[in-house]
Amino acid sequence: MCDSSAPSLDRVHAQLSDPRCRARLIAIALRITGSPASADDLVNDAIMLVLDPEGFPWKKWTFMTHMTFAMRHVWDEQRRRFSVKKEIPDENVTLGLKGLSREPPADDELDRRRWLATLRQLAQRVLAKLDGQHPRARQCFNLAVQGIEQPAEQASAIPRPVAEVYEAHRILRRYASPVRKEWEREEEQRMREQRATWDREQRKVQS
Amino acid sequence: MEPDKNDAARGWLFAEKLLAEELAESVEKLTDEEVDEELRAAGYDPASIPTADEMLERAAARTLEREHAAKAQDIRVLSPAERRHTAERPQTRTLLLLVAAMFTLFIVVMVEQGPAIVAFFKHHTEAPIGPDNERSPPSPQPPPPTPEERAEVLRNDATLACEDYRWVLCRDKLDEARALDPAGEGSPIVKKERTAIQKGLYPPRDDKGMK
Repeated sequence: MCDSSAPSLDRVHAQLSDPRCRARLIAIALRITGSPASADDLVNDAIMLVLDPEGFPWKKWTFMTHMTFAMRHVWDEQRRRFSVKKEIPDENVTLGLKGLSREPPADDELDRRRWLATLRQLAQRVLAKLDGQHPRARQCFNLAVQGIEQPAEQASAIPRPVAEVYEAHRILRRYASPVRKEWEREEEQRMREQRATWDREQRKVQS
Repeated sequence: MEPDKNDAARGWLFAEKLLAEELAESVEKLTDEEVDEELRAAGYDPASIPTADEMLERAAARTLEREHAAKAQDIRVLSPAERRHTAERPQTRTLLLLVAAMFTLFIVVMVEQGPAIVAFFKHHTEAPIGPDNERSPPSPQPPPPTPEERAEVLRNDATLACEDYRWVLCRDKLDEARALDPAGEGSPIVKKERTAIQKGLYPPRDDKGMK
């Protein structure tokens, strides 16, 4: 829920009041979605998430980084929900042949566990790619796992000059980017297969 | 949204943050003209960028839409585990219903024919058994739903159908609802669903859709 009394609302409004910021948010959303209509919706959904105290409130990072992260998260989530929704097509329910429940959804926790499992899998892929190389990047990654994310904090924890931490972050980006692209391809493939299954089920019901 | 500390998932989120930072920086360093050009190239008119207030209003409107959709989905499909669970229950449930029905029948018979049964067992025939005129008048039936209420139900069905990309069903439900309650046709959700139906049934050729 958007909380109109949240202090973050003023801060977010101040950022959005800058037309340059709005234009760039739309540009980022377009790069993520590839569609003008989806870009508008994505920005709105990300704003909603950022204004939600229980969602992803803006605390650290720059506003643009925070919103970009939020937009990517929302986009992944929407695609994931779409595919999960299509995973178990059960026309018997809509035809009234099977039971319906009025109990609160028990899927949320399952959904979260699936999400965490995916994140862990992606983390493992990055670590596997780093295997034996770039010990500094690996150190920074492990520090982030412990909740130490700021370059200055990481620099003092290692301890090494902050410039080395920035270099380690650059390496992490280089390794994480293909992992993300690979995962996106796999998701697209999975969704295509599910759509095909869904279409087959629909045709079966209609016939 | 954040995983617990020492969970490897946090490591990936950190990598995601670095990637988000990179994307944000790459767009931030563009000049205004370059941004406008990029928007136009993607089919977005830079003049139509909403204001800050409009963005916040739309975000709030989408929250309401979600709540509406959540209400409409109050009745939800069972998960496979729940289905298995309920599949094991019908026999027990049927048995319980049967026992309850028999018990109710017993009570009714006792109330209606009590004296006759007592007389039968006691072999008393003195007291004539006459008609029972003490039945309570039938309880009034609830009023039938108004056209607006029926239209609301149909619109909820339409929302579900639209969410499942069943555009023809969604359109039919909305048409039915419009016939019952023309005023409801003007609601933002209905308008949005009509647009979605149009796009779903007749997708524009150059629309890339979901990436």
